[in-house]
Amino acid sequence: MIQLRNIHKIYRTSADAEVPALVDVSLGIKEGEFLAVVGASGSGKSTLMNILGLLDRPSSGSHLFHGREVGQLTIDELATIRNQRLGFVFQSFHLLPRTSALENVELPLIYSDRSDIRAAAKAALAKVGLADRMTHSPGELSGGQQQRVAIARALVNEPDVIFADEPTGNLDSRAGLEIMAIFQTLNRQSKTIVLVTHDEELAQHAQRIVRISDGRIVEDQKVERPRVAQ
Amino acid sequence: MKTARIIRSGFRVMERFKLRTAFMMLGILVGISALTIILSIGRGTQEKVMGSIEEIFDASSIMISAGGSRMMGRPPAEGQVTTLTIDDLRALAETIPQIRVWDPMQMMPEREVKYRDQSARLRILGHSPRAEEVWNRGVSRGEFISEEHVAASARVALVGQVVVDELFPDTDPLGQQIRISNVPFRVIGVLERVGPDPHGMNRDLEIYVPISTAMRRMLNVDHIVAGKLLIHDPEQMEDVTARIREILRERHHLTGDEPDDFSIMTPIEVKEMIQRALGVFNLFLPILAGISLLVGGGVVANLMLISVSERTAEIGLRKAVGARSRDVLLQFLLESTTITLVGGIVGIIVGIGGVRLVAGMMRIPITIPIQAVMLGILIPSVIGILAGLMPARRAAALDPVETLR
Repeated sequence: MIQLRNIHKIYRTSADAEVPALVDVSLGIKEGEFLAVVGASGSGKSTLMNILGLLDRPSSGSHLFHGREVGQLTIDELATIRNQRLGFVFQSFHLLPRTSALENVELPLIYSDRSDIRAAAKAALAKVGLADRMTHSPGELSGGQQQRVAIARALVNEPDVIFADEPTGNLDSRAGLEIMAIFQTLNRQSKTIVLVTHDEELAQHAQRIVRISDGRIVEDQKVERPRVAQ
Repeated sequence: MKTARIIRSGFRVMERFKLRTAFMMLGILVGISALTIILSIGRGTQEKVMGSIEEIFDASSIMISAGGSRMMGRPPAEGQVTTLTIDDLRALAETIPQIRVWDPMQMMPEREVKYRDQSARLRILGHSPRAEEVWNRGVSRGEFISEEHVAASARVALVGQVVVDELFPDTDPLGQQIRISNVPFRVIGVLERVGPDPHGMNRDLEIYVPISTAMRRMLNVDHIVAGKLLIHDPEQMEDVTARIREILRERHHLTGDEPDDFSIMTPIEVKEMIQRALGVFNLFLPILAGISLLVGGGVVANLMLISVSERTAEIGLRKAVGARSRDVLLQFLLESTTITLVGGIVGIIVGIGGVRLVAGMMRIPITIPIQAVMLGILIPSVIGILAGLMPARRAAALDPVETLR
């Protein structure tokens, strides 16, 4: 589904200083995978996720999404792909304040051509177990519930793949496990999940771990027996 | 469908920031209501003034004043130019068939008028019996000046209504004797009330005496200060004034490039003059309203910029989940324009309320010019777009990668 070949990403901080964030990264992601990208802070894992999530473009290299070369797409085309095929979950939730859970989940569909957005948002909230919290605003929900709303928002467009960037970083361990359980359930329903984290233990819930350090992939291993979140 | 949803989502944002939205509206609201009031009151004042001018100076009238190219509308100083005479007017009327009726006028700006122990300083006007028709002002009680009064230079007077109130608080003025500069006059009538004239002079504080009495007995002069003519056909106004000028120049022995020693005023000129005077208000006051709108627009632009920088995460998120730059641009432009437009519409409503209030107090007709309403919608729309453009573009240019950290 996603194929990166020899991806480089260089940040130009000033006229003569260049910081390489990704160096010669090649990576393939198949449909239905649950992949964890693990690395320390500053290792380049967020840059990798931004490129995989079509939020950022590589400096060089080939990036295929469903066989299409991403570098040849316009910014608007990328926005449309993100809108229809991708879902995002962030560490700090990024829910709109003073806005109901339902309206937060509807947000991506506002920019789509779909017409059944209310029903789709309700179904997505039901999937994360928040059918009874639809009218609550983020301020009235716990951290774990807020992140579940964010997951529902990532799900609502029935994406091919969900990118989760440190989704449990702001949660206590129990709420974090609940979130991982939701991801595993979604993965069992054949949803592709890309989890970005610095947390080794959390990464053990994935089927495959890609380790990144100083912008390079240093290890790519299958997890024999993924941990199961309850 | 999609655009409608983006618009609705924009409205939800305004709901979330009620107070800020209200502040942005307020500046526009104040400016537009001020503009509505100013334009409407300006129009109302103009209508009222023009109406009162038409009453005393209708389309078929021509005013000839002694004295040449001086500032129009100012009465000539007493005794300054002595070349205009009743014979001039009579000659004009005999030569130009278009002239229907005419009335000479002599004037004393201030004379002491006494009745028993009451006294006042009043304007005294000398008129002919035809003044009743020419100036469209007769008497509410008693009788007007007659040909006999003029022939005899009779010491009779017509008094304005306010004169009656001041000098005869509880006496019937008819038949009473008053003294004008110590000369006794008999009151024979009370002039119809007309109120202040366009110059603000209270025309109910006047006394009329026969023209001959004013000239012979009081001033001892042969000239008059002005005359007013009515012509049959207002369409002929230009031709008639040209003829008048020609005849008067000839009678006054003016040749070549000697300037006129009289001036001719037509209703068209009077109206132009009034319009120029009102134009100062109609220009100056809208500029004030414009400045307040400028400030209001600045407030909107400023708060929109703050709004954008406060909401970078939200904007980044919207872009991450598929909002294109133009969707974000639309949302913010729509936000600023909706706010200013609603401010404008409420401003028009408040302004109309203000107009009713002020017009009632100033006793002028309530007129809401359609231009005021159109400007009240147009200006806020433009302000909304202009004030929203920079913030909206800044929002649209935000990079989700930068804002979602």
